[in-house]
Amino acid sequence: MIELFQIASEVTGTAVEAQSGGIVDAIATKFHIDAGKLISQLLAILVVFTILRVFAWNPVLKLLDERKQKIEDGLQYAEEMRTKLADAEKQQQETIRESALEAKRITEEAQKSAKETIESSMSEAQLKSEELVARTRESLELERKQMLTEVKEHVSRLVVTTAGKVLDKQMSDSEKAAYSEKAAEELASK
Amino acid sequence: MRKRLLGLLGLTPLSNLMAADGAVAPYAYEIFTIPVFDGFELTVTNSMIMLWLVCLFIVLMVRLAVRKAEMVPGRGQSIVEMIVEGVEGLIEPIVGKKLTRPTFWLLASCFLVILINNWSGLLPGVGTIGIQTTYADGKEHLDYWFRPANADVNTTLALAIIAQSAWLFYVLKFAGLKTLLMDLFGNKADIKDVGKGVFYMLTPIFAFVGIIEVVSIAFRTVSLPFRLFGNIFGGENLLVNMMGLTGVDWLGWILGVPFYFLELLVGLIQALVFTILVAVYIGLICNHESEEGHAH
Repeated sequence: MIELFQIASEVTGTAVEAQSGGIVDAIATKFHIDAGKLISQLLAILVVFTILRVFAWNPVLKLLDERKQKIEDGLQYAEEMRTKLADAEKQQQETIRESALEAKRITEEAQKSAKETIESSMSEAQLKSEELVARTRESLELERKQMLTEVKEHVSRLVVTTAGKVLDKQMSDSEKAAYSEKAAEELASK
Repeated sequence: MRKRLLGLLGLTPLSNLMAADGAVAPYAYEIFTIPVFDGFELTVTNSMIMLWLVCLFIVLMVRLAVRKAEMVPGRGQSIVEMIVEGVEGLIEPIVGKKLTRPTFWLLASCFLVILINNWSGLLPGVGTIGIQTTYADGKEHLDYWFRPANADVNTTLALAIIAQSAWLFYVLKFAGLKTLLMDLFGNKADIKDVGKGVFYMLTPIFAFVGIIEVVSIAFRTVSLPFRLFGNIFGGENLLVNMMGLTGVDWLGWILGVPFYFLELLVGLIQALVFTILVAVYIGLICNHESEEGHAH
């Protein structure tokens, strides 16, 4: 530090002694300030400043801007996607709700239709069965009547034959008819 | 005259670091000359060699770090990006948004070049490798080959000339001559607040203040380089004197160590001070954003 003060005092001392402009010369002499050296340093610094500008600052600044833009775009895109997703989810919920309603409606319709079909089938079956029963009854009645007629004939013939054998005589046709008729009336009355 | 080549720091007798008068010389030594043309020679000083080496180092490092700027940065690119974002964050409030990008190259380059040059003085070999010379009066003197570039006024003056030229360019480009003249000499009083009489009385005072302002602006070409030079040159002196305090050459480094940390800090602060001051000078004339903001 003492040396620094010495330098300062030397420069000031020289300056006091010097005429106007002498202090500048004194400083220039003391610190060896010289146009040639100054220009050389100036050129060196300018060259390195230019190199730094072209090869470091400009590409990095450009890249930082690009990255900033990309991040902004990305955030905007994410926001858009979030909105779209929310919309899609909302739409999906709406679709699910509509589908559920539609399914319910279809099920109800199907149930109704099935019920109707079952009812219709049942009534038809009942009708058919009733018809079948009636027909069967008719058929049975006819068969019974036919059987009764046949039984009557057989019994009448049997009565006549039996009566002829009991009486041991040949019966005329009118007697046979009378016996047969009598037997038939008897059978019919029982 | 006896000459011998010396080794790295620690192998060099500390007395050799000092000039013949016992202190670090306030100027750079002329190491050799290059004849350019008849009668004209380019003198190469130790600070020139150091500046070129540091510049070469910066360029190589930056090229290596940002060989191809990638969207996903590597380690080197991250460091450069960190510097870029740091400087941008530092200068934006000072010069204003409009001038941040146009002035970025100047301010970022000033910061990086000054910072690395300031720290270069702490490297082993700087100020200790050279040729030992014995002068006619019997005093030994080391003509060292590497001197921190900012410990030479020619370098700091060159930086200040670039900064001042850039200041003038940006002020004229972005503010215009009219704004500059109004800013310097114009009457800044509000006629509604002070009244017509006082306003016109203030006009010559503001014009006189403008002249003082012009002198102050012109003097920046002196204050900027000498502040930087003074700090770095002072740091060199401090280190050399501290190392010589023990009186034992091989033990000298112990006292120097704490001051190395101090000089690391001083180097950073001075780079910041120079950069911020240049930004403030530009911002003072060109950045009226904050004032407009207040007005609204």
